[in-house]
Amino acid sequence: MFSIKRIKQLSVFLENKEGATAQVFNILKDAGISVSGASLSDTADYALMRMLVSDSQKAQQVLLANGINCVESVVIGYKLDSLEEVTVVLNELARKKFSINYMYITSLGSGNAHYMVFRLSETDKFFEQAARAEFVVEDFN
Amino acid sequence: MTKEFWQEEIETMPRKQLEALQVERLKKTVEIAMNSPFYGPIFKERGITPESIKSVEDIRRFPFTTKQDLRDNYPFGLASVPLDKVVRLHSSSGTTGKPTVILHTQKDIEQWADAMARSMYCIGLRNTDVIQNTSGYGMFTGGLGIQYAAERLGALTVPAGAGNSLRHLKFIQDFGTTALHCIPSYATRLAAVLNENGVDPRETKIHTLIIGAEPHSEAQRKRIEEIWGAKAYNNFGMSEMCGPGVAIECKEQNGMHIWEDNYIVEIVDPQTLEPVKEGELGELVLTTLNREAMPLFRYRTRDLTRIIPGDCPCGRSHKRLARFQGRSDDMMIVKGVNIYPIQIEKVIMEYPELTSDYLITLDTIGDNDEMTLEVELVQLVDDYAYLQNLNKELSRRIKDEILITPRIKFVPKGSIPQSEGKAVRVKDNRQNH
Repeated sequence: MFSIKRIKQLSVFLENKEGATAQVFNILKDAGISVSGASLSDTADYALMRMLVSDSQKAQQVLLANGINCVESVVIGYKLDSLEEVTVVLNELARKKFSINYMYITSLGSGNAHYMVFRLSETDKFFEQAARAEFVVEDFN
Repeated sequence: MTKEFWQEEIETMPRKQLEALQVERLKKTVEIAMNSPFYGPIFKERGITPESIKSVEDIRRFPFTTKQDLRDNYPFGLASVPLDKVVRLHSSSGTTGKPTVILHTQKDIEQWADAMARSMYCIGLRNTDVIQNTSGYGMFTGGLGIQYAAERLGALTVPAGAGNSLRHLKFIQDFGTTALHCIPSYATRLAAVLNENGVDPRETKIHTLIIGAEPHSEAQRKRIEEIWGAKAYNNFGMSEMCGPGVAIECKEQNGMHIWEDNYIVEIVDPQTLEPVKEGELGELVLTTLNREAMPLFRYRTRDLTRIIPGDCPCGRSHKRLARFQGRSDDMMIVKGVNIYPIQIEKVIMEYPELTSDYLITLDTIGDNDEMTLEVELVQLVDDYAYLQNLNKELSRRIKDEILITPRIKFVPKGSIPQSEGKAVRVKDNRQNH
């Protein structure tokens, strides 16, 4: 059974300067928000850090209040039965001609399970096709 | 024995005689400008005729001319001669909004070259010098202006142009450059490049630097002189007046002599437009006396300065202007280039992804001016490639407009501080006054 989660992910705009990343985590901690996933790349000048947080709305409010640019976007979470399954999923996406913008693997705070979290250039089309193929699509948060 | 002055009679002319010369030239200039579709009707309305001009004070019967007048009459509305007599134009930058155009007849070109040659001679340059120009050629008057003047002087000119410091270094060594024309920040930048490449600027043959086009302090000038082991003289020019060659420091290095046989100089209160007492700070207003394609009367330069009263030991009778102390408008000078916030604003307005708020911050990083432009995204987009492209495109578009490349920072909507009244668009953190 293919289990797909619709995940609200927070993308945080980070300037490439000392303490920028720490600042974000400090703000969230002070607001009592927990982080179950984060991904940051080695880009220059600025970066988009993608985060999975316990309260996305509150996180946005508190970050924006501190002058940090962020936006919520929907990404796809696919529950993996095993890590080998990643190859299967990627092959299937390639076959269906979906293009992957970015991807990371996380437990989503679930303990033993692994989730493949990814954003496609055509995320909406993916959800449409998943619904038609009768996959179970649930909101994660 | 070499003479001290390029044109001794003019440079040391007693004040009364100099003013009489100004009156004579003002009359001639009025006669020429009466043909201009811009000035003609104004003169008629105010009863300004060559015959009615009796003294220099009559200049106050003329209205002021502003940069906006030049923009409104783009491109040729301020011409005072038929266009077939015009041999060159110089235009300011900008693809949006109206640039300004300055026209020159053959006589204007020669006059300009002569004035700047006089300035070069004043600071000790001679036909035996090798003068290297680091100013951009093309529409920048600093390029061709220095070129023609140096040739007029009879010096060997090295028309290297802007950028490529290693090439400048090579020329300095290979050609035995003795004088350099550059903006003050480039003087320090180029010296650093020489040092990085194992060349001590003090060991080159350079004995004089002609610096200008951007405000700089006495401390900066002294620093430039120290690192080059040479004299550095402040040179004032303005495209509307011709280009470089309007005023120059003499060897006293205490004020720039403005060539009053070519200009009537007024210093006015920028609010009331009334003349200030001599020695007081005010806006520099200039009237051309020796130009025919596009003479300008009471042109508001927006530069704030004052006359240094008293006689100069060098013997020149032309008044001296103190270091400029800022602007009475919002123009900025960055890396020697004149920039108005409105130019940047116009570009930002082209992007619906951005709000209309922005903040320009100017800093000195090392020896250079750097501009950072904060813009607000209406909505942050979760797409790095998109942001990169927007950043790059915005940066390129602004560079097309203002000729320098700013660092673009995306900030959250509403984060640029709003102030009551007129929005503060520029934060200048540089220390050059």
